[in-house]
Amino acid sequence: MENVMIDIDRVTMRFRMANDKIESLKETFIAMLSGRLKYEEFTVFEDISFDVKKGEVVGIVGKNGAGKSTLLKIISGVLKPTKGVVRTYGNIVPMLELGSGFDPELTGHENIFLNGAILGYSKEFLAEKYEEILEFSELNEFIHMPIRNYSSGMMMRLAFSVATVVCPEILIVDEILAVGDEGFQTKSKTRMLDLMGGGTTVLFVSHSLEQIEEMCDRVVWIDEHKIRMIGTSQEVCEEYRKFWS
Amino acid sequence: MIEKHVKQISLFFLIYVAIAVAFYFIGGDQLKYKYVVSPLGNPDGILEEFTKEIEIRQPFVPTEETLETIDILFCTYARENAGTVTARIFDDSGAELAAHSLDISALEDNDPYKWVISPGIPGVKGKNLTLALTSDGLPGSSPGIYYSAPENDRQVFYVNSTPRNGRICFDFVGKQVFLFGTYYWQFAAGFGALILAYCLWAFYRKKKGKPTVLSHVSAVWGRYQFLIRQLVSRDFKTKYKRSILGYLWSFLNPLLTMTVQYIVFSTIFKSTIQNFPVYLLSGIILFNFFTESVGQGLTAIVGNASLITKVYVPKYIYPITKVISSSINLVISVIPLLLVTVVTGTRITTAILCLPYVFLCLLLFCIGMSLFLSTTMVFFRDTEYLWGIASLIWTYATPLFYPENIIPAQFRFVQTLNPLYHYIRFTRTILIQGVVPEPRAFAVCLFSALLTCAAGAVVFKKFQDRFVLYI
Repeated sequence: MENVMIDIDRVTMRFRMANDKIESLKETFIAMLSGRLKYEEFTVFEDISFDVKKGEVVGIVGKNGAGKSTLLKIISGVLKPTKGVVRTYGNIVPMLELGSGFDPELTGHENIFLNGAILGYSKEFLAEKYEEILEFSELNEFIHMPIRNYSSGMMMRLAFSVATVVCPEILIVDEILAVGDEGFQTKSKTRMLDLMGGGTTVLFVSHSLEQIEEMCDRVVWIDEHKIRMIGTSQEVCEEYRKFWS
Repeated sequence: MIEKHVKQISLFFLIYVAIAVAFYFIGGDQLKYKYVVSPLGNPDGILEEFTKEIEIRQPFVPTEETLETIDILFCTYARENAGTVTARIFDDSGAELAAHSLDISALEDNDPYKWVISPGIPGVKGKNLTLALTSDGLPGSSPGIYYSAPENDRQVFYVNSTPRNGRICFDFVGKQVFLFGTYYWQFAAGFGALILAYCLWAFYRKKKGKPTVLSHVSAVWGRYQFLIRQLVSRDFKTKYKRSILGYLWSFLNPLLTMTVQYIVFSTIFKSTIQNFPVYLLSGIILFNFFTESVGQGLTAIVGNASLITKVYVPKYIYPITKVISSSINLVISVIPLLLVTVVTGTRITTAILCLPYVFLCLLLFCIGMSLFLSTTMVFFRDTEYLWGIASLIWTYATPLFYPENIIPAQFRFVQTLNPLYHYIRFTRTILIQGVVPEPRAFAVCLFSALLTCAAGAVVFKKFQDRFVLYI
């Protein structure tokens, strides 16, 4: 068990789902009166275990609703598993979705600090890396403009630059590699490869098998609440393709 | 390491001692006792001329431990009178407790005569006493005594042993002594010892590697301090973004609200309320902070859904930072409050140093409410709209623009149970009367704040793991 960064130990995740998404008092009340308020146990994973070693790039595949994103949430500590434990060693940086963690009224400069703080970076670190972030994002003079005026590509470039400026020990990526224009896409891919080469452990969810094959060392295939297969990316991707054809 | 902790604890303790000593001097006599004045009664009529033929006996029951002063309302019939009135106080066994002679020629027309009993009569709370008045005045040069019409059949006084319904116009002032003030140093020492004991215990636990609330708070603060600062400054920067006047609105808003309410309500309530502008403004500022911070805190979890589902941050940081951001606004709006206080000619005293105390209590209260409501908001989105109505009702249930005593006695509990009423009253006592509120007010404010905060925290903690599934 040397250099294990993420240890997923017999994790079971069950949701207690109300049969409709009941959000308001009125709806609950009506549902209660008409006796429809039943909860269904919904199992996402049943007793899964695997671990990820330092510097590995692990892809997670599975059909829609298999629980890929749920697994990432459990690993990043946002969700508590029903049973079992997840142990992580090192700081986890999730790549946020487009613009979440940004405030549209603030300037790019202010948002770098806000978003950095949310991702758990220190003030000194951000001040030191500010120039680097600015340079990488190619925003130049736009950095002092409120980001509500940014294009989505600009916003994404900023988000990507903030998230990857640090060499996080664990980076969690949920389908966001196609960022910005052609030039920036190449650049961000290079940065990702750099990070992976630099010892960062990456967990990577994508529907694009090509990307997974290209970037991952190992792949975990989740299906029917279980790990259907775990192995090198070639093996698993081959099986996965067969499954769909 | 140990040295650092010893330093921290002793510094903390020194600050406590300094505050305790300073508070003793700021609080002054307000901490030790207060005077309770019974009502004088309406002067509904004048008794027959108070000559030497007449003896008046008025039974009364003091509500406080020590009887200090008695006021009696005389009339002089607007003429020169002569002679002496003798006032005596008897207890129910007929023993004389105090006696006083007053010179009739010195009486002012329609003005209460103040008899300061010195030293006060101790231990009279709840006893049946009698005030007996005799005169040696002659017809044509004697004063008259006002009486009030009876409020109920039990109100009786005696003129030459003949019972009459009603009471003479008099009041009595009792001194209520507070245990807290009497034993202030003992209380302060006891509380200090408690704090010290807790610190030592936390220190001991920490050494053994076990968590305490104190170590948890300091760990969270150390780790998330930068995030908390960023979130607060974000809220503060974006609050008035794109408005021309910007932060000036924090000044103007309460002032303008006050002006409108002053114009609308001044003719109705002005006469019964001392310093109406300050009365209005203190209520508006505190209540605005409450509605604003809780309204913001309410949506803190739902509004940050995209972050909460991605990054692990202790979730309570979101509602708490919202309340803290609003509190900056509160601090800014204290400036117009003090300005109005000075402009209306009220002297600002050292009692104002107690203002941060009530603000801190209010802050805790709002944090508690935000934690609770942001939790319910996750599961029931109706909370937002219900809160809109609830806060409107709350506005009217709190004496912001009307006098406190306008509420009928059977609905007084609405005020007693309303923490905001206590916070606002506390502030008004400081600003309008210029004195430190009585010890009870301190306790009520702190207790209601801690209780709400703890309740909110318990609810939040119980449900926080399920937030992610519902937002």
